[in-house]
Amino acid sequence: MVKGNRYIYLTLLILSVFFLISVSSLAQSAKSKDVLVYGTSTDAATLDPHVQNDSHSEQIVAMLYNTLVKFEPDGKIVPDLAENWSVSEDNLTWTFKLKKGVKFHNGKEMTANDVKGTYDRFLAEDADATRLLAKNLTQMFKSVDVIDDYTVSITTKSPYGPMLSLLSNRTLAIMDPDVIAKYGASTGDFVESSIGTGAFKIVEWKKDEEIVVERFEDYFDEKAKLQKVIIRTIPEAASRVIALETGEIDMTNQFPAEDLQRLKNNPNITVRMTPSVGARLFRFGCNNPIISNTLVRRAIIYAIDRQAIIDGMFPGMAYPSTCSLTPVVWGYTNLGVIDQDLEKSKSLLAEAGYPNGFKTKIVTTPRYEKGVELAEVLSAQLSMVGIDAEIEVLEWSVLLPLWMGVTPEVFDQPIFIMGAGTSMMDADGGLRGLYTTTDTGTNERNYGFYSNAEVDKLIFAAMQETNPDKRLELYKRALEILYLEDPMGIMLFDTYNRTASVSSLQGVETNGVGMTYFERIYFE
Amino acid sequence: MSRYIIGRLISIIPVLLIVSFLVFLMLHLIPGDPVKNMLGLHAPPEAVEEMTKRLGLDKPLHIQYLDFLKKAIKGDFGTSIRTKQPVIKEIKDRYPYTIKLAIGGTFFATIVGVILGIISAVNQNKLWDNILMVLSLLSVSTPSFFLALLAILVFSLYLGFFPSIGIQSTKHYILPILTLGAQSVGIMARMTRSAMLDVLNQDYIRTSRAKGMSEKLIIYSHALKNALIPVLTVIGLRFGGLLAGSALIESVFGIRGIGRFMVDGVLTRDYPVVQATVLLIATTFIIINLIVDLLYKIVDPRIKY
Amino acid sequence: MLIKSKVLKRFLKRKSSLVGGIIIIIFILVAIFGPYLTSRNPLDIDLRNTYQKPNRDNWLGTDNLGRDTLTRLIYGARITLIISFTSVFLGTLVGLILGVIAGYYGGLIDNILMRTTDILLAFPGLLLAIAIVAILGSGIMNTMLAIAFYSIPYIARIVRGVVISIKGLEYIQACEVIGCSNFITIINHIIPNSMSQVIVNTTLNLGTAILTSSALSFLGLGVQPPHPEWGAMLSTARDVMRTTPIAALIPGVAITLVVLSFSLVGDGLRDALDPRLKNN
Repeated sequence: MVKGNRYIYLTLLILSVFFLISVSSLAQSAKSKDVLVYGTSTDAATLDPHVQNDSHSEQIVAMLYNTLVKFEPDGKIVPDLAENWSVSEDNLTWTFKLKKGVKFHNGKEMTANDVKGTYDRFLAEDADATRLLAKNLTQMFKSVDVIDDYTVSITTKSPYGPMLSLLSNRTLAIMDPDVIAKYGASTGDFVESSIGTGAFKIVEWKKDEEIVVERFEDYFDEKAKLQKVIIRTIPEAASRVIALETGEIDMTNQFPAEDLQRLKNNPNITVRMTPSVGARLFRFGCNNPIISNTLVRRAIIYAIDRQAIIDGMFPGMAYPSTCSLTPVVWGYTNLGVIDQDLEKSKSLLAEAGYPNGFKTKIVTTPRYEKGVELAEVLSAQLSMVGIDAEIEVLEWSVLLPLWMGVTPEVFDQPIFIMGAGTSMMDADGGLRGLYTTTDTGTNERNYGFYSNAEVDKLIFAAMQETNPDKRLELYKRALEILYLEDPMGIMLFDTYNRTASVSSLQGVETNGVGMTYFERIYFE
Repeated sequence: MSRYIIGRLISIIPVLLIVSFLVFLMLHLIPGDPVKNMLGLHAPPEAVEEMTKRLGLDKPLHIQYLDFLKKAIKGDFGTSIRTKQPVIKEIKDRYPYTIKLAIGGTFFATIVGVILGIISAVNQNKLWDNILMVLSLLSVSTPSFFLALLAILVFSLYLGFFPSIGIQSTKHYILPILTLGAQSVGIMARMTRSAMLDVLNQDYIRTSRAKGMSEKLIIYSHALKNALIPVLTVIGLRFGGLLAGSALIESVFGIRGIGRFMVDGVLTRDYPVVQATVLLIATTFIIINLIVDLLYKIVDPRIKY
Repeated sequence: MLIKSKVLKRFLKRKSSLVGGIIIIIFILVAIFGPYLTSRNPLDIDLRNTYQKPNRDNWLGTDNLGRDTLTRLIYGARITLIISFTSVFLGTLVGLILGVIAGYYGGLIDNILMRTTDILLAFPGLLLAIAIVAILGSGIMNTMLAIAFYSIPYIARIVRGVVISIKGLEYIQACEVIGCSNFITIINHIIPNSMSQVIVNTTLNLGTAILTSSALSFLGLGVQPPHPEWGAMLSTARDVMRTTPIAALIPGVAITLVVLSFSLVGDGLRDALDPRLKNN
């Protein structure tokens, strides 16, 4: 009697499963062809150009704001907000003619006053250098002056060679000073306080989920081809790839090396890779008594097998570093790959007084691709020369305050992960802030308290030198010291900027800094 | 009845107070200076002082707690250190996702679990019963995050039925709800089975049988109704389990619910977020259990307290 | 003795419990002796040998850093064993003591202790564990403490119930009349009498403890890499789920199997120790 029931229940069960499936396939919506869904690993930390300090935030800043001049994908500098410019004979004063009719997203017209207002924010004596990265970059600026509504001049304390590269940096993007005044420290933290002149304007920001930007119809230059870009945060690398393959996103800028070959073989997906300014390294905390010893640092850099790391963890996605800068940065010199040489490493350690190695610590964060695994590998390779390195894993938002603007007494990271790269594609941006001695008692942007008098002298001389050949010479010498003689860190490998997108997506261009020109992207 | 309800409502107040006190205490139990933990070691003394004042850490503990409580009732949990938004605003955005998942999971688990439990009970110790009971143990034993990964692999990647990530449409809810609820299916099935068997062995059922009542009628009209009472209490408990378990599912499916928000808060030492989310989940759990208790009373008026 | 062999007989009669028991014995043996049977180190990195499919050298393949998956699974069994047994032992011990105190003395102490467990039970298990990790930080020790802590109220309530139910029995009262001290009464009678329920619950708790510790590690809140905890292994394998699904399957199946075995054994023990509970 009861027997019959069993089948009824089972049928019900099966039916409900089918129902769920059919409902779900009905929901399949046709995707409109001017909305791009872009998958990225982390939400932007801030959309304040002067504060942002990571490529995820910078990419969105690049969509929302403009600079006076900008990089083309090939690294050439072309007009952006400025129409043309000239420099005085003494190389101290740069005068920029601004384009007319440039509108902020709030409708206000952008004029010379806004340029001055923007720059004065970080040129001010009391500007917080730890927060406003732009302050450190512009330490050679003397003043910014309004000539007329559409003319502005920048005067420097000494001649500054890479001025145009510097101004192309998104960290010096032009903002609306009224917005800054209104929102203060929370500028760039939410939709209303993220106002630029860019090709896209932000319309929604759900933290940790997505940022939605729409085409800015009053854009002064060629309008964006896409009507809308949804930047979706998908922390897991594998999930991003799956989402791309299932069509849930149209494009991503990060995917694991393990998926590279498969994505390349997929006819529906296009993979684009270009050399980048980005390098992966582990920096030394030179405030540490053992690590401060140059011999110890030299010993460490020879203990590492870079090729094995690349082959095993980033095949096809990276190449060994040959200097403290990557080849696309102006000022780069090829100093050769540092090969693993355990004998040399051991003898340097012995010479330093640590024949049996020592105990130390590697600090890392999962924010960087395979950051934890890299630390594990480094620790294993260091153990071969007797160095016993424990690993400390910290989340990005925990790590950042531990890095920035701290004193040597509290900084406790003998070896720490770093993604180095300069958004101005010039050695001045890649070296000065990071490796010259700070005189304020804190590390500012020189997180590892690196200090070498000769390097200081060379880098500042190069900053003021306007003859390119002479500048190159100065940087070459500085890099020899930084990379080999008194190493600032373990340079591991240089990376590619990479995007993977559905093949119907066209016009995807990424420059050396890693910024993709979203306004040029369109669906075929 | 209404006196009972009022009494029961009042009874949760001390529980909520103590729970909120424990959550408040969390900040003080964390080793180190909570302000420095939040602002970073480099924080200028003025900022530390200001934050200390803002958090009221310079006042005696009981005053601090009262302040915390007052603000909590108003929904003020401070500002998230990581997202820089008011915590309450973030939670308002995220809470609905988690609640929908937990409710969906509970429904799924209850419906499927009860059906399977009945099948098992009426086939007691026969093949179907044995198979179903092993399966339900398997469902209880499988980590939900593992099941979720498998589900993505099979249903998103290989079969393409469902999206693998996010929570943008109804369709996005299906896999998370099924994988979140799966563990509870087994629990509900076992619970229903033993409750059914208890009832089926009782005298009045035997009498009905003896009277020649049809087995179907016995099962549906008598047994099921009474067996569902103990099942109801489990629903409340499971709901709490699913609320907390959503942290795992949300992490696998990349859903920005409060479970993941809480875990991110722990990982990034975003203590205002941790406090608010823990308190919210515990409070939800307490209230749901209260509702279940009241329902219980309505379904089975024999119960006295 | 007679009772014990009866219990054993009843337990062995159930095939599923027997299978579960065998798996647990294998698991425990592997956890204790496994590391001595392999000369490999679970942390040995071999970057030229990453993501190998199962082969003669690496029976279960290798992981993202070329570490041998089988070796990691074996060492992971040890971590899992240590975490689950230590935390459940701690939780049971404290729960037992509190339960006995509450049940035996009754009155105000009982009231306070039971209201405290009420409060703790107001937090779903995983939530309590996460909250404790938020306070203490991650790592093996803190994972154990978190799990131990949240299992206390359950055990305490069960033990209290048992204690109250047998406190009224004649022989206990008789004992008091003779003038046995409270302590002796508890040791001699109450604890042995509540043992069967405690054992069943402890067995089931072991499974839950493994689920919780792997969940915490999966979220990055528990055991930290490079330690081969199974949940952490699963979390690492997520990155390559698309290309090497087996890397996720192995630790996932291991967790499921061991937890399932503890459930089967717990069920079997319940029926064997207390036949009245079996619905026959």
